[in-house]
Amino acid sequence: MTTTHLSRRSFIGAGLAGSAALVLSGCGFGRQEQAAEGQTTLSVWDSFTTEPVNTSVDALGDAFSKANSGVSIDRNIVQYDQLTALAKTAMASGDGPDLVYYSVGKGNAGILVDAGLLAPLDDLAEEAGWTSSIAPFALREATFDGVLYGLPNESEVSGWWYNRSLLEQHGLAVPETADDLLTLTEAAKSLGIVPVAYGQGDFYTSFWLFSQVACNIMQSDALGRLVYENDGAWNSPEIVQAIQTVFVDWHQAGVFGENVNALKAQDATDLWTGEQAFLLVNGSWATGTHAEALPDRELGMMPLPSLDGEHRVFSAGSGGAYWLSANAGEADAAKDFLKFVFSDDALPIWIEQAQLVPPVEFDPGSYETEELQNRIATAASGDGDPQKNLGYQVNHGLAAAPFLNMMTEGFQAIIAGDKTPQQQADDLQAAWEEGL
Amino acid sequence: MSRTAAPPAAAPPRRPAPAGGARRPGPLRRLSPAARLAAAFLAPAIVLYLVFVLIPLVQSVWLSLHEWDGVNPVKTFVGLGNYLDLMDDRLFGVSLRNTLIWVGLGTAASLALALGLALLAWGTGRGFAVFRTLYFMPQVLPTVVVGIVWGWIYHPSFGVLNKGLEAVGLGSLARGWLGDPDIAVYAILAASVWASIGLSFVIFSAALNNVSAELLDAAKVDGANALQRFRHVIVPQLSHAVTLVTSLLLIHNFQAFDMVWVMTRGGPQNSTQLIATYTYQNAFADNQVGYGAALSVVLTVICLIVTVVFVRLRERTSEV
Repeated sequence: MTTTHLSRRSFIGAGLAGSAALVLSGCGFGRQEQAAEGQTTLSVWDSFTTEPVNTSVDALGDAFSKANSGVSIDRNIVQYDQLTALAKTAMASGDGPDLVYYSVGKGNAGILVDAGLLAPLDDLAEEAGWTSSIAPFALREATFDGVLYGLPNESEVSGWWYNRSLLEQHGLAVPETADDLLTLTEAAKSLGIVPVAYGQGDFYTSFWLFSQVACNIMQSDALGRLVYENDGAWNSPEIVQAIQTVFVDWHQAGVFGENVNALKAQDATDLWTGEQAFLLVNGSWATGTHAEALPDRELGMMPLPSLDGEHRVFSAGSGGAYWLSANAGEADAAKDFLKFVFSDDALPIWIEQAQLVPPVEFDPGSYETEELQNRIATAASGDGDPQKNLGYQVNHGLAAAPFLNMMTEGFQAIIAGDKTPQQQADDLQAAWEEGL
Repeated sequence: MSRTAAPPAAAPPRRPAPAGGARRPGPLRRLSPAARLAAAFLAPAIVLYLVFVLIPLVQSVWLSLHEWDGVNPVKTFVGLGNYLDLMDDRLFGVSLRNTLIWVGLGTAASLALALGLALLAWGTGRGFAVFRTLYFMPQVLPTVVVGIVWGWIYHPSFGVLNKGLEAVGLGSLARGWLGDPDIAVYAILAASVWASIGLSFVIFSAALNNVSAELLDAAKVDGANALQRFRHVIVPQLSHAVTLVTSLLLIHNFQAFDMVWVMTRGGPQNSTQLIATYTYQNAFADNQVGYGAALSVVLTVICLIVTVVFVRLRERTSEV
């Protein structure tokens, strides 16, 4: 038998080669784009995965680079729920982006603020005039303990989309009241069409509907105090009755069709864009998508039909905001980008291309927009009386993980008949207190 | 016999001791050349195992003794607090039950189906290649793709399963498969079994080629029916394949995460939570990294127990 002798030098050489291979193979992980000499590369992570917003945000980056010579943007697009996990891990390790687009609220960006991973923006807000130009509700969403940390990009409202053309095709009208809705439901069932497409298969869709319910029954001021200042309770008799009406009575009457817990948000949207549903629980963020899917139909969005016979309030909020990392390598460029976000050059991109409603005052007539978008923009800006017509999203503000999980699990249980509205309201209150 | 052996009386030192005191050779020098070569080949694997398995495992145990949100530099030591909290956590009970169902039922179903299909395809001659390709195909698909495709199959409005049931007059069975908390976990498990039988089928098919035809013929001559031939002639000759397939399936099923996450994310009503998905939710969605680490340690311990029991049982069976 031949024995191969391995000298110490060979052994060490082999070990070093192996180590070098390991190190080199790890070099690609978490790599940031290296800027060329004289160039600045701003790293931005966001979750704008759907069109036309995704392409529009690319255009925003291009416009910023054009206006700021020598600065380019390295954009990393990650699905919303993956970004939540990825960004906080990367930022905690000191390896995150300069700017991150992250959800508002105590359970989201609030975690990063508590860990000291975000930089305060009060000085920048003063310098850029945000305190007067940006809607107060949007600034409130990005403020923690009196300090502004984020720049919300959008004023979004959640409501019920309707397809007026389809309704009229069947001799029906857009329901304005709860009675109208139940009448429509009977007619829709006989036609084999879903009255209101709504699915709770995703963890977040009950956030929309419960926000709408809470807005209608509590109205803006009281709900704002509860969501942001913990002044109030989730298990008041009015809330319990509202849950009973929407999640039990309406569901049992067939308002939302069958298999509510099995449908995901996209499934419900598919039902509606496929004209197998008259209405859809969704929000203003989908304006561009819906306009593209149903170009020849008259579409619109309305608040939940009144539960008390009087009030109808959109739930409003910011989908998310841009936050500046406390460890940003290119902090100056990042601040320039934030100042650019609502500049005269950038607004047309948000309004005309992305078809979103930025949280700043603007005249829709000055932009090339479709009639549908104008209607949604009018609704999202409060239709002349934001105090009365715009409420809040219950998953923002002080809402933390226990409360969010209880909304998901609890409303699924109510739909399945495994829980009463009173139990759910009590559980929501307990979960709210647990997360404070 | 004495436990201490006397040193050889006349064994000369291989090298004269250096003047000024004995200098012991380094650990590498004491190894034979063959051992050094073996160490060189083993070193990369050991380094990888240390870096990617042992160190993270130790870190997980350490994290499980803390309360930590995953980003704050301050971690609060809570000792066994996270483990004690598990005892009162209803969702831990649900995820543990589902994990046991997943591993037990999933392994048994995959094993039985793969073996059954391999037996049916056995001896089909040139047609075997078609079956092998057909059954192995799901194995090469990424789990995420399988999850999305089965999500469409189960779709309450457009899914082929409900449409098929309605077409054959069984419309009363149509339902929202992933929306019913009583059946959702089994619906996902069915998709997982479908995706995982390919490799088991190939292993059983290969093993069946080595089954002794003489023994089968002898059993037939002795009057054994098909079931008896399967039980007493074929299965004993497949024992090594069964061991291998069972091990692979156990590992695969304990690792289950992506299929559930893609299809239901643990819902509805947390009825499809596995320990792995519940761990992820706690650690990365709910910012309770310490509690998530405790869950992962529990899953590791369960895996170890099942593995040890399985290996011991196989060894005992082999000895018999």
